[in-house]
Amino acid sequence: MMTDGPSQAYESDAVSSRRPLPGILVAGTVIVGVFVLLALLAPFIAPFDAVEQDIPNKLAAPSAEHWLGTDEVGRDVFSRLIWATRVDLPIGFLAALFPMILGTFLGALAAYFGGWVDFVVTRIAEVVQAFPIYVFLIALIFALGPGVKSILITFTVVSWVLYARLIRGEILRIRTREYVQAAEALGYSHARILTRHLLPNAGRQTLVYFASDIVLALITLAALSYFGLGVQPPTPEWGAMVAAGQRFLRTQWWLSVTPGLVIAALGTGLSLISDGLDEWLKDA
Amino acid sequence: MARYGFIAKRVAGIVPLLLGVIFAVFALQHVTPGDPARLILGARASEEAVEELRSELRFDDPVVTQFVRYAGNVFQGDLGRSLRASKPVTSIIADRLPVTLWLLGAGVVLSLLISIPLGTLAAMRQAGWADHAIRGVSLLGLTLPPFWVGIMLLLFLALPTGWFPITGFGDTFSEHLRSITLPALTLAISLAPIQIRSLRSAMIEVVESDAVTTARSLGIKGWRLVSRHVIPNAVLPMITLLAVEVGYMLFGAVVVEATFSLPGLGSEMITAVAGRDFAVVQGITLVFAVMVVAIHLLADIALAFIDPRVEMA
Repeated sequence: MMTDGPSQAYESDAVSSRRPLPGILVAGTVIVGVFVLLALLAPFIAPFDAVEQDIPNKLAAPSAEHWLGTDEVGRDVFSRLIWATRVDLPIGFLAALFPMILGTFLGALAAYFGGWVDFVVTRIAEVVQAFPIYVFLIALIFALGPGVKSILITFTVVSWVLYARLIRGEILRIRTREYVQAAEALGYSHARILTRHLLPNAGRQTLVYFASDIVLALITLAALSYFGLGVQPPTPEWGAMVAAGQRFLRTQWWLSVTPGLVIAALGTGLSLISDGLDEWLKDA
Repeated sequence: MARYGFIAKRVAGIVPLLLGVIFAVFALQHVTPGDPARLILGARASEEAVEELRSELRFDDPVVTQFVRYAGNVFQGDLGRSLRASKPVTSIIADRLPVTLWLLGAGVVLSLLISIPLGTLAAMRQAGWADHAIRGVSLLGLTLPPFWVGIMLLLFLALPTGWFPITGFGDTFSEHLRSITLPALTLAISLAPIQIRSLRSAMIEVVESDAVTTARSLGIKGWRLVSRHVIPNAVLPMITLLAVEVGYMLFGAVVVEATFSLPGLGSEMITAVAGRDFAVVQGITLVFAVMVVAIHLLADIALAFIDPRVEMA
């Protein structure tokens, strides 16, 4: 419901990989690919260490040596932006992956077995959804203590619901199809029908949503770190860097501006992948 | 009448939901590692005080008994006491709630002022350059962290012009209005992209519907067609979207209040988290949750009245 809505039919027997890739999907993949490379090659690319301080040289303006200047304890901002890719990218990815796995599992169980399994899963989902999930996020991280582990647990607890609903809806829609009924008639096991027949066909929308969910996870992670509830210093993280720079907005504005631009660039890449996948799989 | 039956059923349905919500807020203190009494009193409290509170709050009782007691207190309007401010959580909430409501109200209005014209334009010029430009901008807007957008507004609007206060909420109505402008704009910028996207697709569906085709065949076109036939039919999905968005909106309000140091519920919550003021975090979470439940309910009731096709099941 948050996006354009599942109005189109996703399912078909045609093999989608034979169709040309949409331009935006390619562009998004290139952008995200660059970030993956930055994360992998950070030790070779980043000119300076991420945490080593150089107090006499603090809050320096951009120069040939420090391309984006230095922060309040003299660390090279450009290097920290690169090192932070190793933090934000994997955490953002996992913070969307775990809820996807849990939600898909529960949604598939609910749809396939129906009855009381469906009843229980749907009721729990309703309660979770009735919550202001992102505010509950703050409360839960508070309860569990700040940090990456709390963030991953919390994201999994609060955002599996949409995946469960997506997959449940899709499976209910396609389980009456002939190929599924044929598989049931052949006496295949529940596990085999679910994993080999239902999930691959119902999973396309999930994939589209997953790509855009990483953006949401990334921004939320940055926001929590901005509050001081996420990644803890001195580990470089983009949201925390924005927060640290905000005190120097009048004089060293680049401290806050650049990490935000980096988040937006990665987010744009992921959104392009999501939109591109949607276009590519929609009328496959 | 089926409609009132639906509403009665829907209202009755929120009772178990509210109990679930209260239970989840109650359960927060049980998922927290460590002694809940110590948690409530803070690290500096003496061992005797902790012991006293533990027996006073009867933490050794069965969980069900504790929950019934907690829920009973909540229904009587008792949300506990703040550690730092040493006053009732309800009085803190009463102080802070108006600011948050101002922010939410102004933010939603501004977001609609952005999204309705842009969404309409994109849908009416489908696949034209305006459509592509609007879709591109809204895609970018989705990826901008709200706290960063707020800082950019401070940097590029507040600092150079001096028109807007950097922090705080002021004392008079006109000061409130000036203080709330940039925070509300920040919230609006984070809400508008999703609204534009869903409004655009809803409108395209409407434009291709029989009703609009008929109106066109009768020679109705231009602004009259849009205002009389397209927009009214796209309002329903918009109400649903605003209701669905409300949870995200509250998170946005927390972020924006923290960015601009607005003295609302959100910034209070962040301060309470930093100060480990447990009762305040619980109380504000509960207020936000009740707001979400109430708005979902109101949206459903509104839809039942506006749209005769709503499932009355």
